[in-house]
Amino acid sequence: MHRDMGRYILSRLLQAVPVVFLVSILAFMIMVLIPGDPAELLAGDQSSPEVVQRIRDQLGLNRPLGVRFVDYYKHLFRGDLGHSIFFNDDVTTTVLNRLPFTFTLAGFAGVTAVVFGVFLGILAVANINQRPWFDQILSVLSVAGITIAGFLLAILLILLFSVKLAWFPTGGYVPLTRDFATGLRSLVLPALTLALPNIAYLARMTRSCMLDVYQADYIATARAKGLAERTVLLRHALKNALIPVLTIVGFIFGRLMVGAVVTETIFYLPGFGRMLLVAVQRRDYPLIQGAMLLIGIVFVAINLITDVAYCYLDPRIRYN
Amino acid sequence: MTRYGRFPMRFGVMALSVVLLAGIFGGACLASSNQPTFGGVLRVGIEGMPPTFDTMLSGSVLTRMIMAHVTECLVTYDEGSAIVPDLALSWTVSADGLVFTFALRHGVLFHNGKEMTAEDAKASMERYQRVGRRSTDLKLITEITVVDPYTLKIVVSKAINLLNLMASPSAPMIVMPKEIAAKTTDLAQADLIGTGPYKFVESIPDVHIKLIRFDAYVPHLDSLTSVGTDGMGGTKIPYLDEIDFIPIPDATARELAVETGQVDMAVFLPASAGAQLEATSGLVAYKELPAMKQVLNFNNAFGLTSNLKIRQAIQACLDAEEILDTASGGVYALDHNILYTNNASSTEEGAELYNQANEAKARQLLQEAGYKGEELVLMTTKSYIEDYRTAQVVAAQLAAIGMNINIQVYDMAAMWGNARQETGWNMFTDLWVSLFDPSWFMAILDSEASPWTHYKNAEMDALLDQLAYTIDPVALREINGQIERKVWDEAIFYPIGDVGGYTAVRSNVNGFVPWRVVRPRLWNVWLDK
Repeated sequence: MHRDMGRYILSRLLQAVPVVFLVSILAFMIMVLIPGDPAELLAGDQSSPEVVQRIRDQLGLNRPLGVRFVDYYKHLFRGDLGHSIFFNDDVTTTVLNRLPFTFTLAGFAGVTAVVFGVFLGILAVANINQRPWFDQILSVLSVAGITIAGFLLAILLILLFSVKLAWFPTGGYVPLTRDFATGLRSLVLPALTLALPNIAYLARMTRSCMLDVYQADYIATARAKGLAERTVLLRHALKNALIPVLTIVGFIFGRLMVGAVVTETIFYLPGFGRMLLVAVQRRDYPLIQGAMLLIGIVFVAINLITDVAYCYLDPRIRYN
Repeated sequence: MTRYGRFPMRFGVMALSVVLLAGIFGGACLASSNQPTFGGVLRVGIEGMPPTFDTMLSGSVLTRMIMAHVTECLVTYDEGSAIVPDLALSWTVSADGLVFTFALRHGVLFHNGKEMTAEDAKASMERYQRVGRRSTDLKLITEITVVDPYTLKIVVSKAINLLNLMASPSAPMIVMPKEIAAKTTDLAQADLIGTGPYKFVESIPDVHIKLIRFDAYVPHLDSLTSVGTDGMGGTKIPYLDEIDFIPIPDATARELAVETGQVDMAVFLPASAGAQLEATSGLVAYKELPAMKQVLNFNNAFGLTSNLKIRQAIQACLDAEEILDTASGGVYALDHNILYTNNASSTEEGAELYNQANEAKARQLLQEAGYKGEELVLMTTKSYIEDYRTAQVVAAQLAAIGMNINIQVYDMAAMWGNARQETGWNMFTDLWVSLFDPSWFMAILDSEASPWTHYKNAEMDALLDQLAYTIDPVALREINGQIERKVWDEAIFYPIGDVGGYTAVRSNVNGFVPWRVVRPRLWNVWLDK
């Protein structure tokens, strides 16, 4: 199995290369087609065309598109992602600097979402006959959690926990390595903002998948064998129900890592999503392309990890 | 030859001058029993990261906000927009207006410990000529000469308002060490060296921008320099150990941060926050009006808005008060002036064409123009909510007289990019920092340089030429009046009026004096012990 798995992983990695390459080409083309350029924003409004043109020359934006395209990929194959116009640092450093925080927040929010989401889904199913009101309350809360806008949730949490109760700061981040307690406090509200909608979604997903699995013959067999309901639930139903849930978990982690823009903005956090938003607003072409490449790599990696995890959840699944 | 100022008494060290100034300040503060004290870290919530820290290159308000504490110019503006000394202690201008001779202060140190001399000032001016935002205005400089280590001579080929250009806060001609001035491209953080009361330490994107007190700073104290905070001049004392500018893009988050004490000060808060800020204990809310000028730009070269009657119809129709009230959330001022309110060069020209709200006249003008319901494109952006709201109200008012308005929403970069093109749009909403001197008209109205209005007019070019070479304030005002007359008669663009906002400061912060040109000024600011 391990040899087959190794070959499978290698094959997926090789398949990922053209995918990531395509992503970078698309990023290049999209940015070129959208109006506006970084020289305008550097110079500021009411700047004369001469000043803007001079900045364009300095940034190399006046070179023909084909030249810029070839130049970019020549550097890329040497591992050089270019220089960020507005962060005034090389793209690799700029992006890598964001990753420790982004991974920390995504990990914190993701683990919270998975643990509580799956748990609540199981709880809903476990009580579906004895306490149907519990399942209904959870359903209503799930819908509320999924539909509430991220920025509204963030502001509500700040008003309650920062302004009213003064338990947590309104935003900002202190690295955990510098001050663990303060850093952790600064992560609670943003992590909660990201986790709550995902808890709601995962709870519903888990509940739904488990109810489907409950219809299977092997569940009836397990009950007929006299197994306790808890054993039927956790040992037989859950494992099979988690396979589709795992797909969603992978997607959630990916989105947490690269797409938490609203949360990072409201809590003024130095995350990847906020960096990418500013890069797009300011037409920081090298940084956008570098970030898009990283997003492509992240999602390829997450999909691969998810696929490998399937094998451990369901021994019937094999890649060969 | 005109002559300004005398040489100052010499002070040995900063401590001596600070003691003197502290005595002056202390006396003034005794009434409030709040003596200035050194120390502490001031945290300021700002709306984002500046696009660059290269002050010569960018007109960004965010760049200016931070670097105004780090760098200085030879001359600058005081609170009343008069030119006052900064690094130049005095200056003379020849009778023909062609030769400017600056006497520099002695013993001014850069943050790297090196003394500022005329060589550095020369190199800085030359860098500005290469990369500066208004470098095109300096084409008339024919010579920059170091007469001696503390005397700089600048010769121009035609008499221009050089001092105004040099002092302009939105395109400052700062003085930097000559080794750094030799660089042309964007500066690294280690190059951000000036002579200001605070020195640049680091910028961590989306985390903070950190400045610390420059211990060797000697506040300017001489007969021409006011004591205390006065525009960009005056005596500047760095009481704070450290200033942390913290980028908090969301206005609500910024408001909550200052309410809870997460930051000590928050700038650029919207008008809607005013009531809550004023009701919050431990907080002082400064209403800042004007903060910006809301403008409706016309494309004078394309489609329907190339027709004067159409532009005049729009001008006649607009109810500026309704627009400003909605756009600003209630903090606004009606003002027909294009320049900063109370500017010495402002006139009443065009006032009768402002805020007409005359639908009948507008319909008549549309009929004369032969308007038949064709579409006009109005660009706007949500990057500033005032712009977006302005567009909505403008469109509604114009729809009421039968105009067909298509609002197109872009981000800032796209809107500016589109606006540079002569075709494809008719109007766009814009927010201007209040213009400080008439020379800015050259950037807006010059047929070669005009980035937005695409207005080309030989008579206007002649007026702008005259403007560039007029120094006498009375003559300057006269020419400015003629320009303003044309702006209104020809409806080149429509200055809708002033919009405001708030700066909120926690009550442990003392000495803060708001000023809409540079927000906030943090010299002469101290924290309670």
